[in-house]
Amino acid sequence: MAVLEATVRESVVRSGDEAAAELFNAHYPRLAGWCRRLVDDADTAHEIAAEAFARLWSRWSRVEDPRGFLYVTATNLVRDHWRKVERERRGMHQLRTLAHTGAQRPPAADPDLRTLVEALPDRLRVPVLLHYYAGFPVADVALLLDRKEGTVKSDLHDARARLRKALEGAR
Amino acid sequence: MSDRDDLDRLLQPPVEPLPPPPGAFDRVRRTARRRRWARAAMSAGAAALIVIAGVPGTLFVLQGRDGRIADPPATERNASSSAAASATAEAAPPVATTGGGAAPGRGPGGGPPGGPVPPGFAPESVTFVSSGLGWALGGAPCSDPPCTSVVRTEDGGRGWEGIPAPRTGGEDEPDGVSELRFADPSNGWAYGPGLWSTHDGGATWHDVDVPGGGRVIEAAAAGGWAVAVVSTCGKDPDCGSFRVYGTPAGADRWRPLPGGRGTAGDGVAGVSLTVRGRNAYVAGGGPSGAAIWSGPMDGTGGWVRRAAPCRDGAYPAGITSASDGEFVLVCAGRPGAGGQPKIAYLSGDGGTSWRRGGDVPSGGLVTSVAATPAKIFVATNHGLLISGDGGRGWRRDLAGRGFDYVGFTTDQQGVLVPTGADPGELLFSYDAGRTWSRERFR
Repeated sequence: MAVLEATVRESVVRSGDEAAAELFNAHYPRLAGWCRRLVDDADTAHEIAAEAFARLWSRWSRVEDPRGFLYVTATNLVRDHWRKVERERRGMHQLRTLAHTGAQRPPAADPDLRTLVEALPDRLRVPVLLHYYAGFPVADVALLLDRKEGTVKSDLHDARARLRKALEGAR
Repeated sequence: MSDRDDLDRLLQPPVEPLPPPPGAFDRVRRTARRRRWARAAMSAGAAALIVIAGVPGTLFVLQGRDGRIADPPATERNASSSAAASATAEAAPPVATTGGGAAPGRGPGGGPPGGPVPPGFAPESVTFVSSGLGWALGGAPCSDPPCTSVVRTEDGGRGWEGIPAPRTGGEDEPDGVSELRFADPSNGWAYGPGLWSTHDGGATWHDVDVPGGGRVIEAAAAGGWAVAVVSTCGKDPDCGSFRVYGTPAGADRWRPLPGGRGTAGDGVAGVSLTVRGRNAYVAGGGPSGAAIWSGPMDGTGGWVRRAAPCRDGAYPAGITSASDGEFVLVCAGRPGAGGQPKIAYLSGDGGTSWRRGGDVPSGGLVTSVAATPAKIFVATNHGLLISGDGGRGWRRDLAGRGFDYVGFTTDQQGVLVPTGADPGELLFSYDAGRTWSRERFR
């Protein structure tokens, strides 16, 4: 990670497509892979990662720590994607109900990360994604989310408690 | 395996990198470049004009205090909104792509009669000349591109109808347009990077030669005059050299304004434009420091350059003026991990002198600034920051969302443009920013 950050900072002093390509090559694969763990398919993961870069470059040409911007943007896009998928699920469920099946959507057979994290409120979900999944230290998460470090720690603690409870309930 | 182990395994799974698809880098760069030009042309906080986007749909009410979006109520906004939504659903080809072929004036300002809003209309820019009358420029799917479309509202965004649009493409085209401004019910301009004008309320549009042959990156109008900031950088999006041109609102007689030129922006922020009375104000960073260029739009006097109060490498992220004549300037530092330092400054003498309002919360990156006599609004990629005491204290509203633009048509009526992911949605406030209503167009 240190090497990666050094590469990114070095790229800042250069301009134009060369630095942009370097930034892209350094961050895109892992960002897209991170997204892939949270969405249904690789195409959606690529769309989100590409959109995060487009937003970065559409607004800033020189950013000291683009990683924070990229992951926060991707986190928001993943959340939007989840909401869209959930709306579609609800729509399908209503259709099934209307079709007199009366069947409820079966609970997830495996309480995977997405299912668990999706159930968290926004306040807890975002720090979980940034800290545990994207690997940001608590101090960076606090800065990214404009919260106090203590608040982030408390949120993460709260999130862990909820997730543990969800794990137990799924057994 | 213990619970703790299960939890850690779930929370910290290995991330397998996904290599980008072929051509992804070039596509992303092109997309970013297009948006960059559009964004540069979008930051005006005009006194008489407001920029943004919109079309009709179901209104949802937001509870803004804690940034949470309330569950949508069952009722729609009003009859006109419902009627417009029905028209949208039944619409045939986008009327707005037909260029200047409309029937003559039955609309406001001699404008054309309205038709249905093009299905799938995605607004990009909106301009209001009063709390009721406004227009939105955007795109809509169609079988015969270009699909630039314009819609009009006469009731403050509650109902919309399609009108003719410039027959051109988006910001990728040399004469394409991405932004829209109207000076009054008759005279308006679509621009970025090209320049088109109408003097009959949008019934007909004319392709105007961009003065100086550059790209129009910003425009505004007030007091019977219009002003355009034109890039003199060719196709380099990181260049900040500009020249300012002015024209009477009712004509296309663009003239360079004496002294209205400079270098603003270092590729990070571009310029910000606001107008008040017959004067215009352009703020930007630059190699010789942050500055504000100002002068009359009618060319009756020379423009002056004054140093902006931004220090330590900070740049003017937004300048605006409230209806009481107070100017607000937000200086922002180099963006870092999801945020940037920001300071709000105020001026009661048209930008001649500035006093420090206060520190703005560092979280989030500034995209736009607006002000009313009672409040300052700073849109960021992480919520809306609001100060009710001249910039000393701030609260963050709608924290879960990012916004590209905030503007106020009146002291009570404002609009927010959410960041790109959902281009069919706008947020309106009709109570001075206390609550925001979500307008969905799809």
